Amino acid sequence: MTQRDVQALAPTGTLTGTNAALETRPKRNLGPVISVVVIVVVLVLWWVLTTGTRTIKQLYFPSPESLWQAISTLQLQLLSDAGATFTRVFASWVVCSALGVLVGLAMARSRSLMYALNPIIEAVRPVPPVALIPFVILWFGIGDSGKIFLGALACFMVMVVNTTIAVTNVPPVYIQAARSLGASHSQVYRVVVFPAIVPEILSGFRIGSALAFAVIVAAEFLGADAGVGRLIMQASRTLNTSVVLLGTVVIAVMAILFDLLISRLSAYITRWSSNRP
Amino acid sequence: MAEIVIDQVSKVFETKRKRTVALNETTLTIADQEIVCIVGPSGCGKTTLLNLIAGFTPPTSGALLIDGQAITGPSSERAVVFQSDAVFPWLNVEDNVSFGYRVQGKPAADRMGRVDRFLALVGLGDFAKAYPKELSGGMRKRVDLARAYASGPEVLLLDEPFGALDLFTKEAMWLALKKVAAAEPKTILFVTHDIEEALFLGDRVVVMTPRPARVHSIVDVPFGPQRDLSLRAEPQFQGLRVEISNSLREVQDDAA
Repeated sequence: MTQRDVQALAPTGTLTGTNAALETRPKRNLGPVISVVVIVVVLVLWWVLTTGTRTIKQLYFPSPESLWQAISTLQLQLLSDAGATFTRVFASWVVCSALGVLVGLAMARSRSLMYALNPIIEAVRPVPPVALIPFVILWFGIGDSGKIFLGALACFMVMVVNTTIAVTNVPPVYIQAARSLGASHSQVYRVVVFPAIVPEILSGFRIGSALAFAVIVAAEFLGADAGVGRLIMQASRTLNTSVVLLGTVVIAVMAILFDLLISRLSAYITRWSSNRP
Repeated sequence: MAEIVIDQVSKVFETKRKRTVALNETTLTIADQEIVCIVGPSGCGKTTLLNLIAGFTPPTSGALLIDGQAITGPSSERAVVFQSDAVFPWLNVEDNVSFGYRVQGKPAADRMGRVDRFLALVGLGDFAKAYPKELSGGMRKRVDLARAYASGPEVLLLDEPFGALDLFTKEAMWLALKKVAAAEPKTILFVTHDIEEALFLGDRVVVMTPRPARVHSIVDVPFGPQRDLSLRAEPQFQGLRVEISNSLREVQDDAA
């Protein structure tokens, strides 16, 4: 058997986000077709219920056309608000994902650090970051830094907990094997523990990015100089629901694209993992 | 050179609720380049003994020596092949096999020659670039064996490594192990509950009692280093097999 034969035998499922082992029978891959059909049906239904039959009033749920009008009126302002929100999300995500992983690894390695930091983390973790918004506005004002702080705090908590749990889940037999092959204690961290937890770290990155979007938009609601959250809040004061809807669509599109980017990257990085197609 | 001396070694596991004597004053000497197989009922201290020699856990009392030096922890002079799958999934076959040399900081020039040699010996020459997920269970065990050997140990410790494999794969693994052991003889301690496996591979077979484990009897295997699978049909082989299974039954009954 050559290497190519083996690759041909390897599982080649293309479903993402489902466990291939749970699939009942092999069939032609209709997945993407189903997704597209559902999206088209929802869009048509939206148009029929609003513009088509006027079953739903414009105020309660704006029509596709009014969304388009909102885009042409806002133009550059929409772009700059979206840019402001995304910059905040990206900055907080990068800083705190990295910091969270480093602190998580350090905590998993040092018992005393674990005892020192764990009570604080466990106390802060269950608090919804949104509850801290009044403090954040007091400390940082309504500019970028407060939003980044809040998003970063949320990401950090996810990443620290995610990393410490991932380290405890590394099969002990990997560590014993590495030690008996000549790896020192500190080498074991670098060459076994870290690569073994990469899949968990990457899935933590995805959870963290979604959380950063949620927290930062919420913070923008309650006071901001720019951002999609502020745009939505201003429009809601004048009952301009088409801008409100447009804002949520923009957030969804940004979050989905960012998540797609991270998940594609992590699928490539963890192509060795048996859970990947 | 690696002679293993196990002198009056005991291991006691203590928790709040109970105290378990896993190993009770066991004494055994394994000569340099000898292959010793340990058989015993499951749950006896076979794996505990192997973990003590590997240095994963210290003995409660007694002395464990390799060439007169006390064992103080895991070391690259004692490579272990485990029952469970311990091949690193994030490394391809080649990087798994060269792992030992890499972490020990040995020269890269020697490394690749050694990797190629042991991959060829275990019959995986064509799979150097494959990831473990692309291999079958038997092939992953071959990688594990090649990795342990290629790291350059004095002693090889195998803990029921082929227990989860089907008979034909197991037979192929026996031959692979015989082949690498002939190419580069080591002191080998092989823990198993399969009597035929022990007789086929071992120079001596040690029968252990149920917990608390100690050595019940030692059988010298008279077949020499060259063995093929038909050996199992020989009357002498079958006679030894019956002898060992009788001893195992005896120790079980004593315990019951």
